[in-house]
Order: sequence, then structure tokens, then C-alpha cells
Amino acid sequence: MQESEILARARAAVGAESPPYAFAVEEGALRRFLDATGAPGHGRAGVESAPSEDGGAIAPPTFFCPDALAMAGQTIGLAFPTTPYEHAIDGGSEWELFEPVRVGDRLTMTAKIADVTEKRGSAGTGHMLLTTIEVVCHNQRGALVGIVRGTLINYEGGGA
Amino acid sequence: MTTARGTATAAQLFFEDVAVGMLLPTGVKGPVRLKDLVKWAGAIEDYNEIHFDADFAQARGLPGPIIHGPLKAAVLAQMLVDWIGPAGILKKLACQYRRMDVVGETLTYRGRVTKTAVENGEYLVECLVWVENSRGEVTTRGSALVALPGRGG
Repeated sequence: MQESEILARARAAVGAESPPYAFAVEEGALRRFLDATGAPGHGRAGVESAPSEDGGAIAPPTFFCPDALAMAGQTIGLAFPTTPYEHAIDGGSEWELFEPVRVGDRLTMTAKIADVTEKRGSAGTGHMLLTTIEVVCHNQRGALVGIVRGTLINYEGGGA
Repeated sequence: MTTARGTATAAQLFFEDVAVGMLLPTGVKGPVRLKDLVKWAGAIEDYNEIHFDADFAQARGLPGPIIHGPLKAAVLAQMLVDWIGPAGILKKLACQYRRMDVVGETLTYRGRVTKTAVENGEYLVECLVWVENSRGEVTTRGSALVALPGRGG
């Protein structure tokens, strides 16, 4: 398949959006996240000793969507563009944060394919397709909590 | 407690305390253990074996299980909110995962102030943030935007 055809097929998916996905922010999930990041003073003691004035304990900034690609693809079920490339890697994420997330909040997320572009990488990567996934999160009060964009890189691999 | 508005027990950073070129407090994590990656995988429900199954990772040409990029981003976010204090706000964070880090690696988290500005009544500070491996190579790089209180209130 020609590279231009690969891009054209992938770009046909731009704008595709998932149905809303809702979940409750639970203390146990926050505790596991804090423990996994290993910051001193956090974890169980951090959750139990620090409710916020407006409700439950406040979660770290990336807690609501730590991995846009995993959240969109695995949790929310957004279908990503298919490519003939064997290799895939997470290129990174961007978080725009508007409201804190608290234990007890009920969050609603939608995910969409925001953009698809192509690049020619090094000899080790060959042709690359970059898919930008956007996850938008609101809380139960309808307030925008955050927008997270992740980049999935599909690439040919060595020798291409 | 860690909040998007800064750690409750940390000292408060004010806009007037910040200057371009200023370095953020450095954080060191490691050696990162397989157990740490399993904890993160469970915390965010990402069970890709490349992060905790050595045979799986090596079958794909890697020297071992690789450290999740989002875990490094979460630790960078932690570093920032601890730095800005309880009245500071983390508004944006961007991270690019440029090189893989493998289990057993010790990672150093760094940042540097690149710009300060007052816009629409907000005291804003932009930072460059990055993660280095034990060989001093930058494996993750990014930027952050925080809002700080002014001493005048």
C-alpha cells in the first residue's frame, strides 16, 4: 500500500468520537495512584488525612487521564486508525487542566481522533503515522476538568 | 496531599520568588523496580506486558520491561505541584517520550524556569521539564505552565 493511501485511510477517521464514558473517582484508586508514583508523604496517609474543603481528597493532576492512548483505546473503546506498520509507540501526552478532581467526583469522558499526520523518520523507524487522540473530561457539575491529547506513533521499523 | 494546586504541606512559592533560569528542585527515583511498574500498571489499568514481562519485552528486541512514559509524566507533575505550593496551580503539562527507560534504571527529574509573565491578572510561569537516565541522557522532555500567587495578594 502506498504511503499516501495509508495516510488517506487514516485521515478518514479524524473526527470520530466515542460515546461518553463515566466513572466515579474512588479513594482506593487514588491511593493506588499515589502509591505507584511513590512521592513521599502520599499514599494512604495522604488520602485519609487530606480531604479538601469542598469535598474528598484532591487527586494529582494527571490522575483523571494519565495515559490518553490507553484511556481512549482500552477504557473508552475508541477505534484507532489501522495501519500496515508493525511497530507502535506512545509519543507523549499534553494535559490542559481546569478543575481539580476529588474523591467522590463522577467524571464523564469522551475521546476522539483529533488529527493524523505522517513523517519520515530515521533509517531505524522509516515511515511514521502520527495519530493525535483527544480526551475531554467533565465532572458531575458539568465543569470542564481537563483536556488530554496523546500521540500514537505507528512506524515501519528498521530497514524501511 | 497533592493537588493540582500544590502540596498542602509544602512551602508556598510566590511569583516574585521566581526568575528565568531558576532550577526546580530535582527529584530522583530509582532504581525503578519491576514491582513499581506492576503497581503503576494496576493503578491505571494498563496491562501491556511490555512493561512487566521480561520475556515479552525481550522478544520484541528490548533489553527488559520498559518504564511507562505516563508514569514519568505523573512524577513530573508531582514535582511541579510540590514546587508551587498549595496556592499554586498547574495549568498545563506536556511530555514527549523520546527514549525508552528500562526497569532497573534510576531517573532524575529536572526543571528550569523559561518565562514569567502577568497575563489577564494571572501570574504565570513557564518551565522546561525533563527526565534523565543514569547516563545523563534525556529520555523524556516537556514543558509546564503554572500560575502562582503574588505576594501582594
